[in-house]
Amino acid sequence: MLRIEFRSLIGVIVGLITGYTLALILGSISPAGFKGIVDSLIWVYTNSTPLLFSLTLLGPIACSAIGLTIAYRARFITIGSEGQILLGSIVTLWLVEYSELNLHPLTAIPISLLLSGFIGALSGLVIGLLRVYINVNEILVSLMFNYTVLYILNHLASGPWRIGAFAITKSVSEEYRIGPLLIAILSIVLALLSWFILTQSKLGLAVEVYGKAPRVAETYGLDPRTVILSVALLSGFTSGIGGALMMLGFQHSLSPMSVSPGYGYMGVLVSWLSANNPLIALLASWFFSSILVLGRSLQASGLPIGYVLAIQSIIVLSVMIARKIMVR
Amino acid sequence: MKTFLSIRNVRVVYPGGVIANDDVSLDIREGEILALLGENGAGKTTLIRVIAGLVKPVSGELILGGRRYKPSSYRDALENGIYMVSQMPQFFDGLTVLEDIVLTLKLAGKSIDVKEFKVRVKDIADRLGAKVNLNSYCWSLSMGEKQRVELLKALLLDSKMLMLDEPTTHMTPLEFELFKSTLRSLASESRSIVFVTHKVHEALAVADRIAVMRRGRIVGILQREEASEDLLIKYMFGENGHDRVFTFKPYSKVIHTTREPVLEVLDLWVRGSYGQLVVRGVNLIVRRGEVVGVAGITGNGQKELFEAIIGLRKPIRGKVILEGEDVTGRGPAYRVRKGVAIIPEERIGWGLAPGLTIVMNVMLSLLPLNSMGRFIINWGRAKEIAREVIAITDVKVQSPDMMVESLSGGNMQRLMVARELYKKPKLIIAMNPTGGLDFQTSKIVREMVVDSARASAALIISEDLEELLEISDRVYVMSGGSIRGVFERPFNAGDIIKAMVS
Repeated sequence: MLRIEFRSLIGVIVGLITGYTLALILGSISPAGFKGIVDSLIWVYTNSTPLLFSLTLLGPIACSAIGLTIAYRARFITIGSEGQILLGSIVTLWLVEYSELNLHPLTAIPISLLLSGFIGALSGLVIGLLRVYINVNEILVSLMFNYTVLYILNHLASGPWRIGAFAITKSVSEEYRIGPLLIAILSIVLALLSWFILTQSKLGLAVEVYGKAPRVAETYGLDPRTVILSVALLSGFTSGIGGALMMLGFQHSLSPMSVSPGYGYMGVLVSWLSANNPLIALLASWFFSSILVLGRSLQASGLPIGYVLAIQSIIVLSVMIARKIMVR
Repeated sequence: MKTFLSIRNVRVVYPGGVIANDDVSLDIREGEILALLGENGAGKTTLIRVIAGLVKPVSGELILGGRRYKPSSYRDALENGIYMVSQMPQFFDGLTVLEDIVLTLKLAGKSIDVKEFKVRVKDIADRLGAKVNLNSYCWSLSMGEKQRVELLKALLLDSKMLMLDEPTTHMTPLEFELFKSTLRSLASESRSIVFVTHKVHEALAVADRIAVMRRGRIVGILQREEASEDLLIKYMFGENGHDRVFTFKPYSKVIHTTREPVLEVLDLWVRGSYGQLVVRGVNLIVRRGEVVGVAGITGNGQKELFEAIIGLRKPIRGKVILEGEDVTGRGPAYRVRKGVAIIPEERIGWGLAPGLTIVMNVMLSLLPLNSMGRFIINWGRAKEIAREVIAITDVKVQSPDMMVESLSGGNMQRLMVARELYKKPKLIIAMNPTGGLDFQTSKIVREMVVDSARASAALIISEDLEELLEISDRVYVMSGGSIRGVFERPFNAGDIIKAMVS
């Protein structure tokens, strides 16, 4: 385990260096310069505003990554976390702004979390059922599912939920918004819960056995269908919650323009990055969210946001290569 | 006769310190059939693997055509005209026989003109008397047919020396006769044949010369004329080893078959992975306290029968009844909960999960049991259980947290069997429980299963007839997917073999 983490660390460093070199070649770093980047990096971790902002952004990344660690251990390679996050945010917005229930924040917030989780789990179940009963590849199904949700969102924002001239919905009112601390605490709780399920529960062992040797699981009565449907439900549940955290934490409204830069896909990357360990996934998510904050601060000095997303991918690639190469 | 290959003072030590070959020297001559005789684990296979470049000796040398021959891969052997046919030749199931042959030849670095090639294959096949349909798929070949295709490949490569590892394991007596004359005609073309076997009568029937191995050493080389059954057995087992092979001793008294049935299989029909009917109307019964064997040549539906009984494969007709309850429609979980111990024929990937610790591997088959709690695993208790299981196996294990792959093959088998018996099962279902194990370990495993079966019941499906005759109270013989005979003690081995090949 330690050895894997050592290799991952090397991978992260190589990834950062590669990313920086690439930016130098492309010239996209020149607006900020090396000093600008280092200064921003120090600023991110020493200043309370960016630090808290990184914890806010942590929510959707961590929640999706944490659920995916369980799914990936069972070799259920869903990428539906992106769609589930969007679905969760739609449900949350509906509950607090469009449902006309006028709930008190103290009931609205937990209910929106649970409802988003539930809807996310339900969508996960559909992907799982398709895999289990008619053997459809979950990667394709979940990818198409993500597009479907994205278009539903676009439709809502530019049609029924639109206010005013632009394709944008109502905004979550102040009293329903949540802060970085609550988001961080919820992420930690979910990570601990996932870790507990993986290491201490019967389901967790069934997941491990099925992921490593499906035939063994089947032979000794650890029903593959139960395993896959369970991990599909769990990963959908946490990703859905991630959507609620995104909506209540920082997104506040929906619009085809300002939709997530792919927090769910980042969750996929983080999950691989962490070798499917939910506790490490939590840390890696924070790393990713702080890179996002870093990117936003560098944007002011002219660095494109696409560069930050490229850096994230380069890091994941480097880590995976490092793990494969440095076997001994 | 000219010497084709000489082996000089070869010594092979496996990781873990097992000396597989110890100072082995042997000349292999052109145009002779040399039998390499010895019991399982005597070092025969290791020796031919050295020649094939698959095992590196720590010392000693091989001389081929007056020059030092140091193969570093099987390809080197092929290029030097040496062909090895392993005990269970591996084929690409999805290819046709022709495609598989072409692929092998390409791997050996030969270029092929398919049209001309087909004619050559036909020629050689006719000469071998081997009727093989080149267009049939490899998965549909019997083991005997696969052996013949291997010989075909060796001839297409024009190999000077053929090494055959226990080639008769899956042959019928008739096939064996045919095979014998094929080998004879190959030898007459001044090819060298090395025939590895643990069966004395085969060595006597086939060979010009017999080299006997025991515990990694060559203990005697005899001309066919000077060899006799008694003499060879003496060489194989030492002075006092007579009773070990040819006269099986029943483990225990005959069990009277009037007790209540634990397992009943009624008119079971099962399809194989390719949709073909492989189990055709099997009926059998296992009563409390009994050890019941299912004998047969591999590939006659035993695996599918096993899978259907444990619930992995759905039968198309018939019933599986466990303690009076029809469980046909139930999955493996239900059977595990009802107290069925399952010992599949493959350890890694079927009985044990690689990449997980010993304690996880012990726990995995206990999970469906309700006594283990509903949701949470008590890992403290789990480790105690793992230690108890390890104690049954009598295997030295430093910690139950070690990866299961850190155990040797034999120890993995003992762990898997012990785990299943730990459950105090009502019924043990095992397939080839001692396959690939050395003499000592297979004896231990057999004893574990039989002892446990006296308090429960056991169905053992095995390709090792000797083993079944030793431990079973009753033996069903399976051939072509059906039961061809039921035999009670005292067994008549000849009749059983006849039923196997019927």
